[in-house]
Amino acid sequence: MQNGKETPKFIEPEEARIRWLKSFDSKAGRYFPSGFKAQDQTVGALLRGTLTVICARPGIGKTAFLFALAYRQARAGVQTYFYNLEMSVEGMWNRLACLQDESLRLKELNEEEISDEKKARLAELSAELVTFSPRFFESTEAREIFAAAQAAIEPSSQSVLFLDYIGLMTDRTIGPDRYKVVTEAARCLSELARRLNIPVVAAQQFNQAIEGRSDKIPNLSDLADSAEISKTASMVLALTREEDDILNVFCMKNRNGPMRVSYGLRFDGPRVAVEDWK
Amino acid sequence: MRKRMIDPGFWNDSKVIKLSIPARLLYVGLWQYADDEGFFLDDIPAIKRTLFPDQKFDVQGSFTELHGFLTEYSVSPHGRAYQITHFCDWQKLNRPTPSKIKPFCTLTESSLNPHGVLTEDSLRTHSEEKRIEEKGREAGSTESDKLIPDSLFTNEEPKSDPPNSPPSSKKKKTVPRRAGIPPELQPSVSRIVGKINELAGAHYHEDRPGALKTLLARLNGGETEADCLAVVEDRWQKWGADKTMIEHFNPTTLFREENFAKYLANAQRNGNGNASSKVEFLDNDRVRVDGFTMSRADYERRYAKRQRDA
Repeated sequence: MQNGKETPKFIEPEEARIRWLKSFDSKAGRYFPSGFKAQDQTVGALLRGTLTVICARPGIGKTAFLFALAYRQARAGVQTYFYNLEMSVEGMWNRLACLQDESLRLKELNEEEISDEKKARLAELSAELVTFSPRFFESTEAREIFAAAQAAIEPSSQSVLFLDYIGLMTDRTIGPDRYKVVTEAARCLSELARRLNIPVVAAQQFNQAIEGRSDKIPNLSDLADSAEISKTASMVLALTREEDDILNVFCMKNRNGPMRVSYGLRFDGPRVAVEDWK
Repeated sequence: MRKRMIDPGFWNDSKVIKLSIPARLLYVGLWQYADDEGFFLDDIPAIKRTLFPDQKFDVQGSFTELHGFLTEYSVSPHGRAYQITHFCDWQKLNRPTPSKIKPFCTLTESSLNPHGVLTEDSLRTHSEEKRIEEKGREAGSTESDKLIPDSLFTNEEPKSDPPNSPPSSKKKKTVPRRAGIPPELQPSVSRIVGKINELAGAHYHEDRPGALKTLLARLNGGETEADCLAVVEDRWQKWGADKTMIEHFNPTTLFREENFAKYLANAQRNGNGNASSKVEFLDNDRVRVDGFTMSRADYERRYAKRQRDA
Protein backbone atom coordinates (compact mmCIF):
# COMPACT_ATOMS: atom_id res chain seq x y z
CA MET A 1 0.00 0.00 0.00
CA GLN A 2 1.27 3.45 -0.90
CA ASN A 3 -0.67 6.50 0.28
CA GLY A 4 -3.78 4.37 0.62
CA LYS A 5 -3.54 3.14 -3.00
CA GLU A 6 -2.67 -0.37 -4.02
CA THR A 7 0.64 -0.71 -5.91
CA PRO A 8 0.01 -1.77 -9.53
CA LYS A 9 0.98 -5.41 -10.07
CA PHE A 10 1.94 -7.54 -13.05
CA ILE A 11 -0.57 -10.19 -14.07
CA GLU A 12 0.94 -13.52 -13.16
CA PRO A 13 1.05 -16.20 -15.93
CA GLU A 14 -1.30 -18.45 -13.97
CA GLU A 15 -3.90 -15.70 -13.69
CA ALA A 16 -3.49 -14.90 -17.40
CA ARG A 17 -4.02 -18.60 -18.19
CA ILE A 18 -7.24 -18.71 -16.18
CA ARG A 19 -8.52 -15.53 -17.79
CA TRP A 20 -7.71 -16.88 -21.22
CA LEU A 21 -9.52 -20.18 -20.67
CA LYS A 22 -12.43 -18.34 -19.09
CA SER A 23 -12.84 -16.23 -22.20
CA PHE A 24 -13.79 -19.39 -24.14
CA ASP A 25 -16.43 -20.33 -21.58
CA SER A 26 -18.00 -16.90 -21.59
CA LYS A 27 -21.65 -16.99 -22.57
CA ALA A 28 -21.23 -13.65 -24.30
CA GLY A 29 -19.85 -14.06 -27.83
CA ARG A 30 -16.14 -13.53 -28.28
CA TYR A 31 -16.66 -11.80 -31.58
CA PHE A 32 -19.42 -10.03 -33.50
CA PRO A 33 -19.97 -10.96 -37.16
CA SER A 34 -20.32 -7.70 -39.04
CA GLY A 35 -23.42 -8.90 -40.87
CA PHE A 36 -21.69 -8.42 -44.22
CA LYS A 37 -20.60 -11.75 -45.61
CA ALA A 38 -17.90 -10.11 -47.71
CA GLN A 39 -16.42 -8.36 -44.67
CA ASP A 40 -16.49 -11.38 -42.39
CA GLN A 41 -14.79 -13.50 -45.03
CA THR A 42 -12.20 -10.91 -45.97
CA VAL A 43 -11.15 -9.03 -42.85
CA GLY A 44 -12.99 -10.90 -40.11
CA ALA A 45 -15.60 -10.04 -37.50
CA LEU A 46 -15.61 -7.16 -35.02
CA LEU A 47 -13.58 -8.19 -31.98
CA ARG A 48 -14.02 -7.29 -28.34
CA GLY A 49 -11.82 -4.53 -27.00
CA THR A 50 -10.94 -3.16 -30.44
CA LEU A 51 -11.47 0.18 -32.15
CA THR A 52 -12.41 -0.01 -35.82
CA VAL A 53 -12.23 3.19 -37.84
CA ILE A 54 -14.24 3.65 -41.04
CA CYS A 55 -12.87 6.47 -43.14
CA ALA A 56 -13.86 8.11 -46.41
CA ARG A 57 -14.23 11.46 -48.13
CA PRO A 58 -17.55 13.28 -47.57
CA GLY A 59 -20.54 11.89 -49.40
CA ILE A 60 -19.04 8.46 -50.06
CA GLY A 61 -21.21 6.56 -47.58
CA LYS A 62 -19.53 6.52 -44.16
CA THR A 63 -22.76 7.06 -42.26
CA ALA A 64 -24.62 4.64 -44.51
CA PHE A 65 -21.99 1.95 -43.97
CA LEU A 66 -21.72 2.58 -40.23
CA PHE A 67 -25.48 2.58 -39.81
CA ALA A 68 -25.84 -0.57 -41.89
CA LEU A 69 -23.32 -2.24 -39.56
CA ALA A 70 -25.26 -1.02 -36.52
CA TYR A 71 -28.56 -2.21 -38.01
CA ARG A 72 -27.13 -5.67 -38.65
CA GLN A 73 -25.81 -5.86 -35.09
CA ALA A 74 -29.21 -4.81 -33.73
CA ARG A 75 -30.95 -7.40 -35.87
CA ALA A 76 -28.58 -10.03 -34.51
CA GLY A 77 -29.73 -9.18 -30.97
CA VAL A 78 -26.69 -7.12 -29.98
CA GLN A 79 -27.21 -3.99 -27.82
CA THR A 80 -26.25 -1.18 -30.17
CA TYR A 81 -25.27 2.33 -29.10
CA PHE A 82 -24.98 4.97 -31.79
CA TYR A 83 -23.44 8.41 -31.29
CA ASN A 84 -24.78 10.44 -34.20
CA LEU A 85 -22.93 13.72 -34.00
CA GLU A 86 -23.89 14.68 -37.51
CA MET A 87 -27.55 13.79 -37.94
CA SER A 88 -30.77 14.01 -35.95
CA VAL A 89 -32.50 10.93 -34.53
CA GLU A 90 -35.40 11.50 -36.96
CA GLY A 91 -32.96 11.45 -39.87
CA MET A 92 -31.40 8.24 -38.61
CA TRP A 93 -34.84 6.66 -38.28
CA ASN A 94 -35.58 7.59 -41.89
CA ARG A 95 -32.51 5.59 -42.84
CA LEU A 96 -33.49 2.79 -40.51
CA ALA A 97 -36.92 2.59 -42.16
CA CYS A 98 -35.29 2.41 -45.61
CA LEU A 99 -33.02 -0.38 -44.44
CA GLN A 100 -35.95 -2.35 -43.07
CA ASP A 101 -38.44 -1.72 -45.88
CA GLU A 102 -36.97 -2.03 -49.36
CA SER A 103 -39.91 -0.22 -50.95
CA LEU A 104 -39.13 3.04 -49.13
CA ARG A 105 -36.95 5.79 -50.58
CA LEU A 106 -35.10 8.30 -48.44
CA LYS A 107 -36.18 11.24 -50.60
CA GLU A 108 -39.80 10.25 -50.15
CA LEU A 109 -39.47 10.24 -46.35
CA ASN A 110 -37.49 13.47 -46.28
CA GLU A 111 -39.31 15.63 -48.77
CA GLU A 112 -42.65 14.27 -49.89
CA GLU A 113 -46.05 14.76 -48.32
CA ILE A 114 -46.94 11.70 -46.26
CA SER A 115 -50.56 10.63 -46.62
CA ASP A 116 -52.60 9.36 -43.66
CA GLU A 117 -52.50 5.89 -45.12
CA LYS A 118 -48.74 6.08 -45.37
CA LYS A 119 -48.52 7.42 -41.82
CA ALA A 120 -50.43 4.39 -40.57
CA ARG A 121 -48.04 2.13 -42.49
CA LEU A 122 -45.04 3.95 -40.98
CA ALA A 123 -46.53 3.63 -37.50
CA GLU A 124 -46.78 -0.10 -38.07
CA LEU A 125 -43.22 -0.18 -39.34
CA SER A 126 -41.99 1.79 -36.35
CA ALA A 127 -43.28 -0.93 -34.02
CA GLU A 128 -40.99 -3.37 -35.83
CA LEU A 129 -38.13 -0.90 -35.97
CA VAL A 130 -38.13 -0.15 -32.29
CA THR A 131 -36.66 -3.58 -31.63
CA PHE A 132 -33.84 -3.00 -34.15
CA SER A 133 -33.12 0.62 -33.44
CA PRO A 134 -29.80 1.48 -31.81
CA ARG A 135 -29.80 3.73 -28.76
CA PHE A 136 -28.88 7.19 -30.04
CA PHE A 137 -26.86 9.86 -28.31
CA GLU A 138 -26.69 13.33 -29.79
CA SER A 139 -24.18 15.33 -27.76
CA THR A 140 -20.81 16.06 -29.34
CA GLU A 141 -18.97 16.64 -26.07
CA ALA A 142 -16.32 13.95 -25.62
CA ARG A 143 -16.60 13.73 -21.86
CA GLU A 144 -20.39 13.28 -22.00
CA ILE A 145 -19.98 10.63 -24.69
CA PHE A 146 -17.56 8.60 -22.59
CA ALA A 147 -19.51 9.10 -19.39
CA ALA A 148 -22.75 7.98 -21.07
CA ALA A 149 -21.06 4.90 -22.50
CA GLN A 150 -19.54 3.89 -19.19
CA ALA A 151 -22.85 4.39 -17.41
CA ALA A 152 -25.01 2.57 -19.95
CA ILE A 153 -22.84 -0.30 -21.13
CA GLU A 154 -22.00 -3.22 -18.93
CA PRO A 155 -18.42 -4.39 -19.43
CA SER A 156 -18.04 -7.53 -21.58
CA SER A 157 -21.74 -7.40 -22.49
CA GLN A 158 -23.19 -8.16 -25.90
CA SER A 159 -22.87 -4.56 -27.00
CA VAL A 160 -21.31 -2.61 -29.83
CA LEU A 161 -20.73 1.14 -29.82
CA PHE A 162 -20.77 3.26 -32.98
CA LEU A 163 -19.67 6.88 -33.37
CA ASP A 164 -20.24 9.10 -36.42
CA TYR A 165 -17.72 10.79 -36.60
CA ILE A 166 -14.57 11.47 -34.54
CA GLY A 167 -13.83 14.81 -36.20
CA LEU A 168 -17.07 16.27 -34.86
CA MET A 169 -16.26 15.59 -31.23
CA THR A 170 -15.61 18.58 -29.00
CA ASP A 171 -13.82 18.87 -25.69
CA ARG A 172 -14.43 21.88 -23.46
CA THR A 173 -11.26 21.24 -21.51
CA ILE A 174 -9.07 21.28 -24.63
CA GLY A 175 -10.75 24.02 -26.63
CA PRO A 176 -10.73 24.59 -30.37
CA ASP A 177 -7.46 22.77 -31.19
CA ARG A 178 -8.76 20.08 -33.58
CA TYR A 179 -5.56 18.07 -33.51
CA LYS A 180 -5.56 17.78 -29.72
CA VAL A 181 -9.29 17.06 -29.50
CA VAL A 182 -9.16 14.31 -32.11
CA THR A 183 -5.94 12.81 -30.76
CA GLU A 184 -7.43 12.63 -27.27
CA ALA A 185 -10.75 11.31 -28.61
CA ALA A 186 -9.02 8.52 -30.55
CA ARG A 187 -7.09 7.46 -27.45
CA CYS A 188 -10.21 7.57 -25.29
CA LEU A 189 -12.27 5.53 -27.76
CA SER A 190 -9.58 2.88 -27.87
CA GLU A 191 -9.39 2.88 -24.07
CA LEU A 192 -13.20 2.71 -23.86
CA ALA A 193 -13.25 -0.36 -26.11
CA ARG A 194 -10.62 -2.03 -23.96
CA ARG A 195 -12.23 -1.10 -20.65
CA LEU A 196 -15.77 -2.12 -21.66
CA ASN A 197 -14.42 -5.10 -23.63
CA ILE A 198 -16.73 -4.42 -26.56
CA PRO A 199 -16.10 -3.45 -30.19
CA VAL A 200 -16.14 0.29 -30.89
CA VAL A 201 -16.65 1.40 -34.48
CA ALA A 202 -16.05 5.04 -35.34
CA ALA A 203 -16.07 7.00 -38.56
CA GLN A 204 -13.58 9.65 -39.58
CA GLN A 205 -13.04 11.86 -42.61
CA PHE A 206 -10.23 11.63 -45.11
CA ASN A 207 -8.36 14.81 -45.94
CA GLN A 208 -8.29 16.18 -49.48
CA ALA A 209 -5.07 14.47 -50.58
CA ILE A 210 -6.88 11.48 -52.04
CA GLU A 211 -8.98 13.69 -54.33
CA GLY A 212 -5.95 14.75 -56.32
CA ARG A 213 -4.58 11.29 -56.84
CA SER A 214 -5.49 9.61 -60.08
CA ASP A 215 -5.56 6.09 -58.63
CA LYS A 216 -7.86 7.06 -55.69
CA ILE A 217 -6.27 4.36 -53.56
CA PRO A 218 -6.39 5.56 -49.95
CA ASN A 219 -3.44 5.67 -47.55
CA LEU A 220 -3.42 5.76 -43.76
CA SER A 221 -1.84 9.19 -44.03
CA ASP A 222 -5.05 10.46 -45.68
CA LEU A 223 -6.88 10.37 -42.32
CA ALA A 224 -7.85 13.89 -41.37
CA ASP A 225 -6.99 15.78 -38.18
CA SER A 226 -4.65 13.39 -36.40
CA ALA A 227 -2.39 10.44 -37.15
CA GLU A 228 -3.24 9.14 -33.68
CA ILE A 229 -6.44 7.61 -35.11
CA SER A 230 -4.55 5.19 -37.31
CA LYS A 231 -2.14 4.39 -34.49
CA THR A 232 -4.76 3.55 -31.88
CA ALA A 233 -7.27 1.80 -34.16
CA SER A 234 -7.07 -1.98 -34.44
CA MET A 235 -8.66 -1.91 -37.86
CA VAL A 236 -8.92 0.88 -40.41
CA LEU A 237 -11.33 0.43 -43.29
CA ALA A 238 -11.32 3.00 -46.09
CA LEU A 239 -14.33 3.50 -48.33
CA THR A 240 -14.30 4.78 -51.90
CA ARG A 241 -17.07 4.87 -54.47
CA GLU A 242 -16.08 5.27 -58.11
CA GLU A 243 -19.22 3.68 -59.49
CA ASP A 244 -22.56 4.81 -58.08
CA ASP A 245 -23.63 1.38 -56.90
CA ILE A 246 -20.32 -0.06 -55.69
CA LEU A 247 -18.81 0.77 -52.34
CA ASN A 248 -15.13 -0.26 -52.32
CA VAL A 249 -13.82 -1.16 -48.89
CA PHE A 250 -10.04 -1.27 -48.39
CA CYS A 251 -8.56 -2.70 -45.21
CA MET A 252 -5.65 -0.38 -44.48
CA LYS A 253 -4.78 -1.78 -41.08
CA ASN A 254 -5.82 -4.91 -39.24
CA ARG A 255 -4.09 -5.82 -36.01
CA ASN A 256 -5.85 -9.17 -35.75
CA GLY A 257 -6.17 -10.36 -39.31
CA PRO A 258 -5.26 -9.84 -42.92
CA MET A 259 -4.62 -6.31 -44.12
CA ARG A 260 -4.21 -4.81 -47.60
CA VAL A 261 -7.33 -6.73 -48.61
CA SER A 262 -10.39 -5.28 -50.24
CA TYR A 263 -14.01 -6.15 -50.88
CA GLY A 264 -16.96 -4.54 -52.56
CA LEU A 265 -20.48 -3.94 -51.26
CA ARG A 266 -23.61 -2.86 -53.08
CA PHE A 267 -24.62 0.74 -52.49
CA ASP A 268 -28.29 1.43 -53.01
CA GLY A 269 -28.40 5.18 -53.61
CA PRO A 270 -32.14 5.89 -53.30
CA ARG A 271 -32.35 3.99 -49.99
CA VAL A 272 -28.85 5.03 -48.88
CA ALA A 273 -28.38 1.42 -47.90
CA VAL A 274 -25.27 -0.75 -48.04
CA GLU A 275 -25.72 -4.43 -48.68
CA ASP A 276 -23.88 -7.58 -49.66
CA TRP A 277 -24.00 -8.55 -53.32
CA LYS A 278 -26.60 -11.22 -53.86
CA MET B 1 28.18 4.93 -69.02
CA ARG B 2 25.77 7.82 -68.98
CA LYS B 3 22.02 8.26 -68.66
CA ARG B 4 20.37 8.72 -72.04
CA MET B 5 16.89 9.30 -73.40
CA ILE B 6 15.16 6.90 -75.76
CA ASP B 7 12.98 8.73 -78.23
CA PRO B 8 9.59 6.98 -78.65
CA GLY B 9 10.07 7.34 -82.39
CA PHE B 10 13.14 5.15 -82.18
CA TRP B 11 11.19 1.87 -81.97
CA ASN B 12 9.18 2.61 -85.10
CA ASP B 13 11.92 4.19 -87.14
CA SER B 14 11.96 2.67 -90.61
CA LYS B 15 15.68 1.92 -90.40
CA VAL B 16 15.67 0.65 -86.85
CA ILE B 17 12.93 -1.89 -87.44
CA LYS B 18 15.08 -3.51 -90.10
CA LEU B 19 17.64 -4.37 -87.42
CA SER B 20 17.53 -7.58 -85.39
CA ILE B 21 16.37 -7.22 -81.78
CA PRO B 22 19.89 -7.77 -80.35
CA ALA B 23 21.27 -5.11 -82.72
CA ARG B 24 18.60 -2.63 -81.55
CA LEU B 25 19.50 -3.36 -77.95
CA LEU B 26 23.18 -2.90 -78.71
CA TYR B 27 22.42 0.37 -80.50
CA VAL B 28 20.63 1.73 -77.42
CA GLY B 29 23.44 0.40 -75.22
CA LEU B 30 26.01 2.20 -77.38
CA TRP B 31 24.25 5.51 -76.73
CA GLN B 32 25.06 5.00 -73.08
CA TYR B 33 28.52 3.66 -73.78
CA ALA B 34 29.52 6.53 -76.08
CA ASP B 35 30.63 9.91 -74.80
CA ASP B 36 28.49 13.04 -75.03
CA GLU B 37 29.32 13.56 -78.69
CA GLY B 38 28.62 9.96 -79.61
CA PHE B 39 32.25 8.79 -79.90
CA PHE B 40 33.63 5.52 -78.58
CA LEU B 41 36.74 3.46 -79.18
CA ASP B 42 36.62 0.29 -81.20
CA ASP B 43 37.00 -2.17 -78.32
CA ILE B 44 34.40 -4.91 -78.71
CA PRO B 45 35.48 -6.91 -75.58
CA ALA B 46 35.18 -3.75 -73.47
CA ILE B 47 31.74 -2.99 -74.93
CA LYS B 48 30.62 -6.54 -74.17
CA ARG B 49 31.99 -6.39 -70.63
CA THR B 50 30.20 -3.12 -69.98
CA LEU B 51 26.85 -3.70 -71.66
CA PHE B 52 26.31 -7.45 -71.46
CA PRO B 53 28.57 -8.69 -68.68
CA ASP B 54 26.88 -12.00 -67.92
CA GLN B 55 25.09 -12.81 -71.14
CA LYS B 56 26.12 -14.85 -74.13
CA PHE B 57 25.67 -12.13 -76.67
CA ASP B 58 27.21 -11.91 -80.12
CA VAL B 59 28.31 -8.29 -79.88
CA GLN B 60 30.49 -8.54 -82.97
CA GLY B 61 27.60 -9.84 -85.10
CA SER B 62 25.19 -7.14 -83.93
CA PHE B 63 27.91 -4.55 -84.27
CA THR B 64 28.35 -5.45 -87.92
CA GLU B 65 24.62 -4.95 -88.42
CA LEU B 66 24.96 -1.42 -87.09
CA HIS B 67 27.47 -0.51 -89.77
CA GLY B 68 25.17 2.01 -91.38
CA PHE B 69 24.51 3.72 -88.05
CA LEU B 70 28.15 4.35 -87.16
CA THR B 71 30.86 6.49 -88.70
CA GLU B 72 34.31 5.00 -88.54
CA TYR B 73 37.44 7.01 -87.71
CA SER B 74 41.05 6.11 -87.41
CA VAL B 75 42.73 7.11 -84.18
CA SER B 76 46.50 7.55 -84.24
CA PRO B 77 48.61 5.51 -84.24
CA HIS B 78 46.76 2.22 -84.99
CA GLY B 79 43.37 2.35 -83.32
CA ARG B 80 39.88 2.93 -84.57
CA ALA B 81 36.93 4.81 -83.14
CA TYR B 82 33.29 5.19 -84.06
CA GLN B 83 30.81 7.93 -83.79
CA ILE B 84 27.10 7.16 -83.60
CA THR B 85 25.81 9.01 -86.62
CA HIS B 86 23.18 11.59 -85.71
CA PHE B 87 23.81 10.92 -82.04
CA CYS B 88 22.86 14.51 -81.27
CA ASP B 89 19.52 14.10 -83.02
CA TRP B 90 18.50 11.32 -80.65
CA GLN B 91 20.10 12.76 -77.55
CA LYS B 92 19.47 16.30 -76.39
CA LEU B 93 22.11 17.09 -73.79
CA ASN B 94 22.07 20.18 -71.62
CA ARG B 95 25.77 20.56 -70.95
CA PRO B 96 27.61 17.97 -73.05
CA THR B 97 31.17 17.15 -72.03
CA PRO B 98 33.47 17.65 -75.04
CA SER B 99 34.64 14.36 -76.48
CA LYS B 100 38.18 13.29 -75.58
CA ILE B 101 38.26 10.95 -78.57
CA LYS B 102 37.12 13.37 -81.26
CA PRO B 103 40.35 15.45 -81.43
CA PHE B 104 42.34 12.33 -82.34
CA CYS B 105 39.96 11.12 -85.02
CA THR B 106 40.55 11.31 -88.73
CA LEU B 107 38.09 10.04 -91.32
CA THR B 108 38.76 6.72 -92.91
CA GLU B 109 37.59 5.65 -96.33
CA SER B 110 34.72 3.72 -94.83
CA SER B 111 33.50 6.92 -93.21
CA LEU B 112 31.69 7.64 -96.41
CA ASN B 113 28.13 7.06 -95.43
CA PRO B 114 25.36 5.95 -97.75
CA HIS B 115 24.27 9.54 -98.20
CA GLY B 116 27.50 10.44 -99.95
CA VAL B 117 30.57 12.16 -98.64
CA LEU B 118 30.68 12.85 -94.91
CA THR B 119 30.74 16.57 -94.39
CA GLU B 120 31.81 18.73 -91.48
CA ASP B 121 28.14 18.88 -90.47
CA SER B 122 28.35 15.32 -89.29
CA LEU B 123 30.96 16.33 -86.79
CA ARG B 124 29.03 19.24 -85.36
CA THR B 125 27.96 19.01 -81.78
CA HIS B 126 24.38 19.58 -80.76
CA SER B 127 25.16 23.07 -79.46
CA GLU B 128 26.94 24.00 -82.67
CA GLU B 129 23.93 22.85 -84.66
CA LYS B 130 21.64 24.85 -82.45
CA ARG B 131 23.76 27.95 -82.95
CA ILE B 132 23.58 27.51 -86.70
CA GLU B 133 19.81 26.99 -86.45
CA GLU B 134 19.43 30.22 -84.47
CA LYS B 135 21.58 32.13 -86.91
CA GLY B 136 19.40 30.91 -89.73
CA ARG B 137 16.29 32.10 -87.91
CA GLU B 138 17.83 35.48 -87.14
CA ALA B 139 18.64 35.90 -90.80
CA GLY B 140 14.93 35.57 -91.49
CA SER B 141 15.18 32.15 -93.02
CA THR B 142 12.07 30.09 -92.33
CA GLU B 143 12.91 27.35 -94.76
CA SER B 144 13.22 24.29 -92.61
CA ASP B 145 15.38 22.62 -95.25
CA LYS B 146 18.19 24.92 -94.21
CA LEU B 147 18.02 23.53 -90.67
CA ILE B 148 18.70 20.03 -91.86
CA PRO B 149 22.40 19.17 -91.88
CA ASP B 150 23.80 18.50 -95.32
CA SER B 151 24.69 14.99 -94.30
CA LEU B 152 21.00 14.10 -94.23
CA PHE B 153 20.57 14.75 -97.93
CA THR B 154 21.15 12.02 -100.42
CA ASN B 155 22.48 12.76 -103.84
CA GLU B 156 19.89 10.71 -105.65
CA GLU B 157 16.55 10.79 -103.86
CA PRO B 158 16.38 13.42 -101.19
CA LYS B 159 12.90 12.45 -99.92
CA SER B 160 13.16 8.68 -99.63
CA ASP B 161 15.19 6.83 -97.05
CA PRO B 162 18.06 4.92 -98.60
CA PRO B 163 18.65 1.40 -97.31
CA ASN B 164 20.92 1.08 -94.28
CA SER B 165 20.86 4.79 -93.71
CA PRO B 166 20.90 5.89 -90.08
CA PRO B 167 17.64 6.98 -88.46
CA SER B 168 16.90 10.50 -89.54
CA SER B 169 14.91 12.11 -86.77
CA LYS B 170 16.21 15.47 -87.99
CA LYS B 171 13.53 15.30 -90.63
CA LYS B 172 10.92 14.60 -87.95
CA LYS B 173 12.15 17.53 -85.96
CA THR B 174 11.50 19.92 -88.80
CA VAL B 175 7.98 18.65 -89.51
CA PRO B 176 6.25 20.50 -86.62
CA ARG B 177 7.50 23.79 -87.96
CA ARG B 178 5.50 23.24 -91.10
CA ALA B 179 2.58 21.09 -90.11
CA GLY B 180 1.96 21.81 -86.41
CA ILE B 181 1.84 18.77 -84.15
CA PRO B 182 3.05 15.42 -85.51
CA PRO B 183 0.04 13.14 -86.05
CA GLU B 184 1.35 10.43 -83.71
CA LEU B 185 1.49 12.93 -80.84
CA GLN B 186 -1.86 14.57 -81.50
CA PRO B 187 -4.02 12.27 -79.31
CA SER B 188 -1.64 12.65 -76.35
CA VAL B 189 -1.33 16.41 -76.80
CA SER B 190 -5.10 16.66 -77.06
CA ARG B 191 -5.64 14.78 -73.79
CA ILE B 192 -2.95 16.71 -71.92
CA VAL B 193 -4.14 20.11 -73.16
CA GLY B 194 -7.73 19.04 -72.44
CA LYS B 195 -6.75 18.25 -68.85
CA ILE B 196 -5.09 21.64 -68.40
CA ASN B 197 -8.13 23.41 -69.83
CA GLU B 198 -10.50 21.33 -67.71
CA LEU B 199 -8.66 22.03 -64.45
CA ALA B 200 -7.81 25.67 -65.01
CA GLY B 201 -10.75 26.64 -67.19
CA ALA B 202 -8.20 27.75 -69.79
CA HIS B 203 -8.49 27.73 -73.56
CA TYR B 204 -5.21 26.42 -74.93
CA HIS B 205 -5.59 25.30 -78.52
CA GLU B 206 -3.88 22.14 -79.56
CA ASP B 207 -3.65 23.42 -83.10
CA ARG B 208 -1.37 26.24 -81.98
CA PRO B 209 1.91 24.50 -81.35
CA GLY B 210 3.67 27.72 -80.34
CA ALA B 211 2.31 27.57 -76.79
CA LEU B 212 2.89 23.82 -76.67
CA LYS B 213 6.53 23.90 -77.71
CA THR B 214 7.80 22.62 -74.36
CA LEU B 215 5.14 19.92 -74.21
CA LEU B 216 6.11 18.70 -77.69
CA ALA B 217 9.75 18.75 -76.67
CA ARG B 218 9.00 16.54 -73.65
CA LEU B 219 6.92 14.09 -75.67
CA ASN B 220 9.56 14.00 -78.39
CA GLY B 221 12.20 13.57 -75.73
CA GLY B 222 10.65 10.34 -74.48
CA GLU B 223 8.39 11.50 -71.65
CA THR B 224 5.08 9.66 -71.65
CA GLU B 225 1.56 11.06 -71.74
CA ALA B 226 0.93 9.55 -68.28
CA ASP B 227 3.95 11.41 -66.87
CA CYS B 228 2.76 14.68 -68.38
CA LEU B 229 -0.75 14.16 -66.99
CA ALA B 230 0.67 13.32 -63.58
CA VAL B 231 2.61 16.59 -63.59
CA VAL B 232 -0.50 18.53 -64.65
CA GLU B 233 -2.61 16.98 -61.86
CA ASP B 234 0.07 17.38 -59.22
CA ARG B 235 0.83 21.01 -60.10
CA TRP B 236 -2.88 21.79 -60.07
CA GLN B 237 -3.13 20.41 -56.55
CA LYS B 238 -0.19 22.57 -55.52
CA TRP B 239 -1.02 25.75 -57.40
CA GLY B 240 -4.76 25.57 -58.07
CA ALA B 241 -5.70 27.46 -54.93
CA ASP B 242 -2.65 29.75 -54.89
CA LYS B 243 -3.33 33.09 -56.53
CA THR B 244 0.37 33.76 -57.08
CA MET B 245 1.26 30.41 -58.54
CA ILE B 246 -1.80 29.80 -60.66
CA GLU B 247 -0.46 32.07 -63.37
CA HIS B 248 2.37 29.56 -63.84
CA PHE B 249 -0.11 26.80 -64.56
CA ASN B 250 0.47 26.87 -68.29
CA PRO B 251 2.05 24.40 -70.73
CA THR B 252 5.21 26.45 -71.16
CA THR B 253 6.10 26.37 -67.46
CA LEU B 254 4.76 22.91 -66.70
CA PHE B 255 6.79 21.18 -69.39
CA ARG B 256 9.90 23.36 -69.44
CA GLU B 257 12.91 21.08 -69.45
CA GLU B 258 14.49 22.47 -66.29
CA ASN B 259 11.20 22.12 -64.35
CA PHE B 260 9.75 18.91 -65.64
CA ALA B 261 11.94 16.32 -63.89
CA LYS B 262 11.40 18.07 -60.55
CA TYR B 263 7.65 18.29 -61.05
CA LEU B 264 7.44 14.67 -62.12
CA ALA B 265 9.39 13.49 -59.07
CA ASN B 266 7.01 15.47 -56.86
CA ALA B 267 3.99 14.02 -58.63
CA GLN B 268 5.26 10.49 -58.12
CA ARG B 269 6.05 11.18 -54.50
CA ASN B 270 2.53 12.51 -54.00
CA GLY B 271 1.07 9.37 -55.49
CA ASN B 272 0.02 10.89 -58.80
CA GLY B 273 0.82 9.27 -62.07
CA ASN B 274 -0.50 5.77 -61.60
CA ALA B 275 -3.84 6.11 -63.31
CA SER B 276 -4.15 2.51 -64.38
CA SER B 277 -4.48 -0.19 -61.75
CA LYS B 278 -1.78 -2.82 -61.32
CA VAL B 279 -3.49 -6.20 -61.46
CA GLU B 280 -1.95 -9.54 -60.45
CA PHE B 281 -3.90 -12.79 -60.65
CA LEU B 282 -3.09 -15.00 -57.68
CA ASP B 283 -3.86 -18.61 -56.76
CA ASN B 284 -7.20 -19.64 -55.22
CA ASP B 285 -9.24 -17.26 -57.35
CA ARG B 286 -7.71 -14.20 -55.74
CA VAL B 287 -6.65 -11.02 -57.50
CA ARG B 288 -4.33 -8.29 -56.24
CA VAL B 289 -5.22 -4.81 -57.48
CA ASP B 290 -2.90 -1.94 -56.57
CA GLY B 291 -1.60 -3.98 -53.65
CA PHE B 292 -5.03 -4.97 -52.29
CA THR B 293 -6.12 -8.60 -52.47
CA MET B 294 -9.71 -9.48 -53.32
CA SER B 295 -11.75 -12.37 -54.63
CA ARG B 296 -11.93 -12.98 -58.36
CA ALA B 297 -15.70 -12.39 -58.34
CA ASP B 298 -15.22 -9.11 -56.54
CA TYR B 299 -12.55 -8.07 -59.02
CA GLU B 300 -14.82 -8.88 -61.95
CA ARG B 301 -17.61 -6.83 -60.43
CA ARG B 302 -15.55 -3.82 -59.43
CA TYR B 303 -12.60 -3.54 -61.78
CA ALA B 304 -12.71 -5.79 -64.81
CA LYS B 305 -15.26 -3.75 -66.74
CA ARG B 306 -13.44 -0.52 -66.00
CA GLN B 307 -10.11 -2.06 -67.04
CA ARG B 308 -11.67 -3.30 -70.28
CA ASP B 309 -13.19 0.11 -70.97
CA ALA B 310 -9.84 1.75 -70.30
